[in-house]
Amino acid sequence: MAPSTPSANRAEIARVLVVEDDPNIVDLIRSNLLIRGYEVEVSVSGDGVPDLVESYDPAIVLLDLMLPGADGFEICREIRSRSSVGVIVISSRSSEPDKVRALNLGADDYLTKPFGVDELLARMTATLRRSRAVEPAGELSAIQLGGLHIDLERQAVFRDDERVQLTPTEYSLLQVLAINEGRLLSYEELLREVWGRGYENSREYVRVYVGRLRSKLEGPEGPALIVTEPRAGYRLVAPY
Amino acid sequence: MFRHGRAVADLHRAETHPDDVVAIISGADLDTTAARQLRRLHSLAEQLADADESAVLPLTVSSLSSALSTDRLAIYLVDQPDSADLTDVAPTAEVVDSATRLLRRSASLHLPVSLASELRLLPLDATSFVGQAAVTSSLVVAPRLDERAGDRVAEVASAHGLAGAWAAPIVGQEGTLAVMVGFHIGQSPLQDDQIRLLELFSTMAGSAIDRGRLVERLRRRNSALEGLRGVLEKLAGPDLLTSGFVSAVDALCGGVGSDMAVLYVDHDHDPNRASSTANDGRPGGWAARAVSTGLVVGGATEQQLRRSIERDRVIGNSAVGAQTTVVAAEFEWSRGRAALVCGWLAGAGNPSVPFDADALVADAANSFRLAMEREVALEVERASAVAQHNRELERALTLRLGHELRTPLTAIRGFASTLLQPDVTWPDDEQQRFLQIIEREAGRMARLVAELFDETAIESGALRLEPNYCDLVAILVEAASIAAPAGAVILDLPDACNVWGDRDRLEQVFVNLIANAVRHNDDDITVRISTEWPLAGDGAPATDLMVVRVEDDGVGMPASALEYLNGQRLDRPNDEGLGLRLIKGLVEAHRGTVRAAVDDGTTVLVTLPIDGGLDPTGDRPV
Repeated sequence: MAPSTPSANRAEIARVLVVEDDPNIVDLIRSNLLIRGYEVEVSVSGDGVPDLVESYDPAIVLLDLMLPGADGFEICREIRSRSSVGVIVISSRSSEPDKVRALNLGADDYLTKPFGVDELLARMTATLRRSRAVEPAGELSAIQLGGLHIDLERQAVFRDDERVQLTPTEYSLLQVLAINEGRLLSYEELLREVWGRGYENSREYVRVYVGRLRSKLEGPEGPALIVTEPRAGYRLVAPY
Repeated sequence: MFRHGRAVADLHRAETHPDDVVAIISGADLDTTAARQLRRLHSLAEQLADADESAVLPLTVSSLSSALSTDRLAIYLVDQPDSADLTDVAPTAEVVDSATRLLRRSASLHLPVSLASELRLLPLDATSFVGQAAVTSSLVVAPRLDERAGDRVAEVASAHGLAGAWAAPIVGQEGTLAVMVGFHIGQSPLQDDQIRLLELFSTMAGSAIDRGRLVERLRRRNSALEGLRGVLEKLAGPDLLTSGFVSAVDALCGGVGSDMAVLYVDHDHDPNRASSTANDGRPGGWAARAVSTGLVVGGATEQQLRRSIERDRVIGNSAVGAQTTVVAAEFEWSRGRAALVCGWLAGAGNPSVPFDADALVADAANSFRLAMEREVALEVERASAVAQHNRELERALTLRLGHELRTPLTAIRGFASTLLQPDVTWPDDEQQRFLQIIEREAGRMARLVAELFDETAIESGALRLEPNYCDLVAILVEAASIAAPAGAVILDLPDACNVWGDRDRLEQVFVNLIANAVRHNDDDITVRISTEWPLAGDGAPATDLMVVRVEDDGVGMPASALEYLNGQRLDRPNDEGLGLRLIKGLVEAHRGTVRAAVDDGTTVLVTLPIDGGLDPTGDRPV
């Protein structure tokens, strides 16, 4: 299935798929989301979740990593291989390697248990904002960087005339870097622009997503598109 | 020496042979042929004593030849036939049987080639004069070969133009070893002095052959020791100290031909252990695993030996006890001292102690040291592997604990923050429901934390039971009322008796068992609790144990939980709450056992010792 494109329709009533086995946490999330106008579907096991994502077509998946008889990381990878839906991992594993692993597998965000409702809602809002329209970049309707073409209106990316599938978060990051081509962007700037408030200390998000962009856009032999400025940030340089 | 009043000779007593005296008295010249040959013989004996073993037989033959002025000689050794021999001696049916021993020509001098090859093997029986000499262990003289009809040797020799012969056995410690055979062309019977010479010769040759065989045994022994060293160096299995060293000590015993061999190990220079060794007569510590084989008859010798080792702390190279020759080698290794001791019983029929026993035992001790050091290295390696495994288990446990504690905490924090959100006003009944969840989950957390403390106490050994005689019926009734709604538990306790244990802790065990059944099943679950006497080995009920059977008709405990309770896995399964570890830990603290099975529902059997399990002072850490 082609990655779902954010639509104005879905922005109004966002569907949320909750994959969680603890009844209290399901209750907590469902109560809070329903009262705020979200539509909620729950899966208490990992079985068939990727299929459910396709059929239910949610705007966000809240995914518990520790499910009975299933590997949450694997489910995350499967969802991402088939869809660009926003995925927020909810886990009692608070270690950095677990967080980076989940992001590498395509999660958009990582929320550690125990969490407050305000924190959950803020992360969901940020993820939804990224998957909605990114602010149009002034007068520009497209950016051409060597073989890389970014169609700002359609939010589509082409490499040598071939469409590259990006998740909303990946696209947001690429657009910010491309509009500021050649300029060094600090971790803080990137976090604020792409992820929003509350992420200032999450540099690993930037590192992981830059890595994902590189693997999709640079190719194994190709010239560097995104250059790391050690301890400072990243800069996008146009391939000659 | 005087004859007819006239001094005829000046003799030294030590150098004078009776023959000389006879010769002088009869008026013969002292320097007779016999005397000359006797002197040659003495020098020959000296040569034989120094000779290399491989040279003994040819040397014997050539010396004999020159001493007896007989130039046609052969020596036959008593031997086992091998397969190649059987065809050679086919005409003589007696030697075809491989168990039969035969005479094998081992050296000869000036025999016609055809004669020598025809008479290569002879049967060991009285059918020939040679065999007869061997069988009777006495000299056989055949002055006329042509008169010995049916004697194959005589016939063959006669056919080769030989007229007479003699056969003299060489007798060693184990009977006839060989036969010397002389042939002559003319019919000249042996003179008396020649016969005596032959007797002397055969004695000498007997000791020469015995000596050769001894040397051979020694050589084999050395190679056995070499083998032993190889075995020891390779011995590095997990049970080296138990079975490996036993076989190595056995091999040592065989190798040096000793009647006993003991390896003493004094572990870590521990003086307490050393003294306990002396007191109870059993080696302590590692020394308890010291191995011995072929222990001395009468026992006293080993006892004395051990005492002398312990008293003197240092063993000399060798010591000779009243009944035993002892050779010991002491050595240091990374964990202390050790000694390898070999003993030879004095007594008839025992081969003597090898002349180089000190060196052999020292060499073997070195091999043992190598093997023991290897064992230590392996132990360290294994310990680090165990530690690594424990760290992994610990990490997995921490992860799961984190999960289990964070789950109720998430509900508590989540619902508390839900109630605090300014953008939503919740209906009263919803608010009430959230508060109830918070209350319930807080209770669950408190229980988890308490159980975590208990588990830690059990594992660290800090948990102390306060045992007393307690009423099992009261415990089970109380546990049922705490852990399950009324009517869910059926108690059937006709056999229940008092048990010696910690009342509160036993109650905790059954509360957890019942609560697990209730929590993981539908509301209509029935838990049935009964007591019974287990059957002892002879089929009769055991009177020192009580079994409490907790059965439910629910969905059944997960396999991982079953395996954990049955001791088939060490890491605690990912269960709801920490109940399993606590149940198992507390029952085992009471010296009891837990077994679980799933059939139609779950059955857990808790076996408790009625009174033997605990220290009556109750003051023992678990």
